[in-house]
Amino acid sequence: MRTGRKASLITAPWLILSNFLKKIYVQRTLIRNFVVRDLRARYVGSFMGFFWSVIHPIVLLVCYTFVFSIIFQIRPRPDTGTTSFPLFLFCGILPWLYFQDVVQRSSTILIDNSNLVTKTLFPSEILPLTALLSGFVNHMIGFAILLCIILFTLGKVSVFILLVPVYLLFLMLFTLGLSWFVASLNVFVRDISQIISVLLIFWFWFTPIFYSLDMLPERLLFLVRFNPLAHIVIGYRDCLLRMHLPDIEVLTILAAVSFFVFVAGGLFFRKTKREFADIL
Amino acid sequence: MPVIRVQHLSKSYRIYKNKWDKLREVIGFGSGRFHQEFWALKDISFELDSGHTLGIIGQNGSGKSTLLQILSGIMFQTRGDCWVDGKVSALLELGSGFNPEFTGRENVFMNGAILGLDTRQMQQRFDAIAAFAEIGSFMDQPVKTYSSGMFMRLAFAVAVNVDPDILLVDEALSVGDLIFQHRCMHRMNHLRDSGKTIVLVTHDLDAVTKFCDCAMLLDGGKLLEQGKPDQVVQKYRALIFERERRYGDFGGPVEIPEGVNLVQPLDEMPIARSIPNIDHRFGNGEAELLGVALMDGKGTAISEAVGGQKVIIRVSAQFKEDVTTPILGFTLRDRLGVEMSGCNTSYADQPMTVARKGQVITSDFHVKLPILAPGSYSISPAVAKGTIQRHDMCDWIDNALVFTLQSKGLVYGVMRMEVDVCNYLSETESNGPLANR
Repeated sequence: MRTGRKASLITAPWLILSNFLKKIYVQRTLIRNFVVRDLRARYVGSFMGFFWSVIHPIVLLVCYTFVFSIIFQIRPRPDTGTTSFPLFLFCGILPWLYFQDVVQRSSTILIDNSNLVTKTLFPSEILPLTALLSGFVNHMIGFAILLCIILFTLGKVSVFILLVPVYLLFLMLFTLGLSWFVASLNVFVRDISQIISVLLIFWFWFTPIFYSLDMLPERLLFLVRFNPLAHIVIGYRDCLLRMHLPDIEVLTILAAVSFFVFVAGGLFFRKTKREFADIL
Repeated sequence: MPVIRVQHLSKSYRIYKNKWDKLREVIGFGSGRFHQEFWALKDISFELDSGHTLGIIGQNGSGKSTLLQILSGIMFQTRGDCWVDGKVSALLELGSGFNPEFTGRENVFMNGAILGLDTRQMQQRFDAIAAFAEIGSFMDQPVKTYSSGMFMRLAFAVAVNVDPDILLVDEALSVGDLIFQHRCMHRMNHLRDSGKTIVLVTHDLDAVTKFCDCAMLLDGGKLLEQGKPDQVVQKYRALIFERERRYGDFGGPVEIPEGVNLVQPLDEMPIARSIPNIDHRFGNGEAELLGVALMDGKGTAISEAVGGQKVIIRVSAQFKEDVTTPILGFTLRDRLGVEMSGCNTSYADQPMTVARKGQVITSDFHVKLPILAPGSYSISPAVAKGTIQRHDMCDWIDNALVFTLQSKGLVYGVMRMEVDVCNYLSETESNGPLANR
């Protein structure tokens, strides 16, 4: 497929991406079916149905607000663009929840669907992708709620909101790459999903979700610098709350890193995929 | 023109001491190998032309399913080449990919998507699928409410309606009730006659001879025999028979002195020591069945018999306690589990008084087999204490021994009666009772 075409550093990402999108297009029926099934499986048979996807983050938010805003009396710094801690928190936790949900679910997704992998000719790489897409739907619902709150409390959105989809794209690429990696690894070592749960807790607290960057001691700044999630969280806040142009240099690096993780995860999955049916 | 071409195909499973070794090797860092190999398939070569039906037979663990998984592209061979040309539909397990929470209709579309059809194509086929599955209004109920028969019908209906060029079927048809099997077979015949290539893995030897036009026998991962179905099936039967004989220790025939009701205290009593199969076992443990054997009149173990043949069914049991009035016996069932007949020492008027702890009793039942419909039958041996009317079961094994019964001539229904027929021919008279009517 790629023979005879030397890809330069600039065209390579586009080639990979368009190749990827082509594959998605070929499998679109299957992917759509899976995403719908996934969304419905979460809520089918439950009384409130889809509303749980809304209620869950709101309850989480209320609890965190109670502890941090009312008990500990924490206020966001003035330069964060809002005085409301819940809004500050919600804006930061939204991309994180998306990331966490997809990675966690992907870690066991191949084992959960092992009969598909071993008994049918099935493109297993779409399983983490469907987790990503069904999480995307939830993320969009959360985002709509966030937008309502922003409009209600701040009364305006800035033009930088147009950059949110860019951050979201990088978040998705990064998440998908990592999910492929984790999903495949867990086939070989089942402990991976447990390890991932633990790592995600650390990752969560070392990401500036409850705090802003300037509250972090100087010597711990490296935690943020090498943490793509931190930049995405900061980016979301820059665009939505501070209404401030994000650091373009950081955005470029973020793009490169996400893309790298996406490609590396994809290649790793493709390399290990042949062994899945043997082991599952 | 071959649509399947397999050359020197081998498959090894890697067995690792621990999981990190497995991972290390897959990722490829760290040189060296950390596994032991288990060869599930060894140097298989064959070709299958378009429109042919191939039956693959062999004992459990002979590599049949692995071969099918490789042909379907789910698994990859370790060595050799595997060439499959055309759209493949693999039916390795009925209903894999069905989600019990969703309705039949949703699952049909889902399964169709897995098999590579888009929604529009599935809509065209939906009526045919629904008609085949015949589950009526349950189509819009969650699959978890289905009976297992409905579930299988629906799954099979989807798989055969995706219109493959090559259909790979693994044992899927041996489950389900007779009507279902019948309908599947009908459908498969239809597919075969419309020129599809079919590969069938099965234990049902009759299906292979009736349905397939070529067959192959796998044993221990090797291709043992390839050719005409009946010839391959014969080879397989011989193989099984040879194994069973080597496995069991039946001893020779015993002359039973007439008019002796008690157990013969023989030192060199031949004891049956093999139990080829245990479906279900129960009893109070006061005695334990050691084995059961089916032998011809000369005392040679057989796995096939002919209706009307004289055979010996030998049952051996060892007593763990002192047991008064022990009874040994067996029942004969057909392949559907219907009890055809049975016999035991008490029923046959050969009662025994007592068996001491540690003793072994062997009963030989000299049976003239009834002429039953040809097929496979099973013997379930038992040892009990008491009388026919009141007894405690000490040990019972369901379907311990399976054998094939053939019949000379046609059997109508379950069995062939011994009938003498007289025909009379009369010329019709014009004033006879018939003409008056």
